[in-house]
Amino acid sequence: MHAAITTTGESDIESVFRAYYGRLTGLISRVVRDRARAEEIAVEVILRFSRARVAADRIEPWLLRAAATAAIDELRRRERRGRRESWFGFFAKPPSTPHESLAAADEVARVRAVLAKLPPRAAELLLLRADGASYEEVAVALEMNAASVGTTLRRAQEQFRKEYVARYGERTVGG
Amino acid sequence: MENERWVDEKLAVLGGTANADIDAGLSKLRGMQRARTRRIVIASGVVGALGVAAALPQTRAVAKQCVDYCGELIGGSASGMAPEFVLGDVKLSDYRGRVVLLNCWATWCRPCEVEIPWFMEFQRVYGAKGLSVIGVSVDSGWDVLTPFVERESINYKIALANDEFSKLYGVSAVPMTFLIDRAGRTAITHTGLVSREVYERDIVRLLG
Repeated sequence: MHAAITTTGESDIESVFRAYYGRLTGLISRVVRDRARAEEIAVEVILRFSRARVAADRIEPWLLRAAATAAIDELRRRERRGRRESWFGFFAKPPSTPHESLAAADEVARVRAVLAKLPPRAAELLLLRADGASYEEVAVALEMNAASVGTTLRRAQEQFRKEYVARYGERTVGG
Repeated sequence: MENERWVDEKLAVLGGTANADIDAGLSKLRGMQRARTRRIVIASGVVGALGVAAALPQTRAVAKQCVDYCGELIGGSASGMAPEFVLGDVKLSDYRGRVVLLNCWATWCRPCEVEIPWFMEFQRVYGAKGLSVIGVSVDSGWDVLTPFVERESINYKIALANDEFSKLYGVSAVPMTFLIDRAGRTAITHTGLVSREVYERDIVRLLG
């Protein structure tokens, strides 16, 4: 789709930015719930891209992979920080939100915690799929054999479910 | 299939935001690019001033001190020499006369895992022509590192980074790879995953 971009000069960076910034921000914000931070990470990814030497036909997978990695890294960092802060959170008041929104927020937090715990490659794979990436896109982005994406994805799903159930039991969404 | 649906349902709660403000993002990108250019201009100015100071006998000693200090700060030296380090039995100056591919990596880093087979092949193919690959891991210890190295049958030298090394080379992310020429100068630095072809082309060029 963007194979015409062959160098990473000033105008090319702008066209790459215009073509991918929205998608990268969307992908990152799935796990980084702070929109401003997600945008910042997407900008950092594109800035890194501008300094890297990426072949024209590898631009999209490079960006998707870099964004997924950056998102999972940020998630793991936040989870670690959250754990540290929780050690000092004895006096924190519980949030006073309506039950439903609290339950939904809890589910998001649970899913994020499980993703942060998975091996990074499995988490990146699930994130890319959740973002709508096709098997082909996943294969190129994660440098995998296209034929093995299905098997690897199933393994990642099993890891996700096992980790989720071990932590929270079999819940339905919002439950 | 049931498992797939269950996981998809869970992941669906993550949602995702649309309609990112492209113009605001572009202005942020340009701001970051400008900041980087400013840093380069300032650094060039400092290097120029130090060059003048180093040319005058009265200010030479002060200039040398500044160069050494700046070298420590930016993880290199004004002369472009790769900073000397000793990690276990790996001492960089022992490799003088050879081209060194110095790869900073970690066992948990997926892009690093992609690069390792390339580096093993480079070591095998270009080792006799003067290439030495050194992998410096930023993992927590040998207990994590050794099983990985054995499992992957890594055929090049592996060392474990310490804080001093990370500071010296400015290792803030992995993978980070330095190609050091036969004279011990840092010729090329890559942060992040770079294609195999790029590495091979640079190695062949440095091997001359």
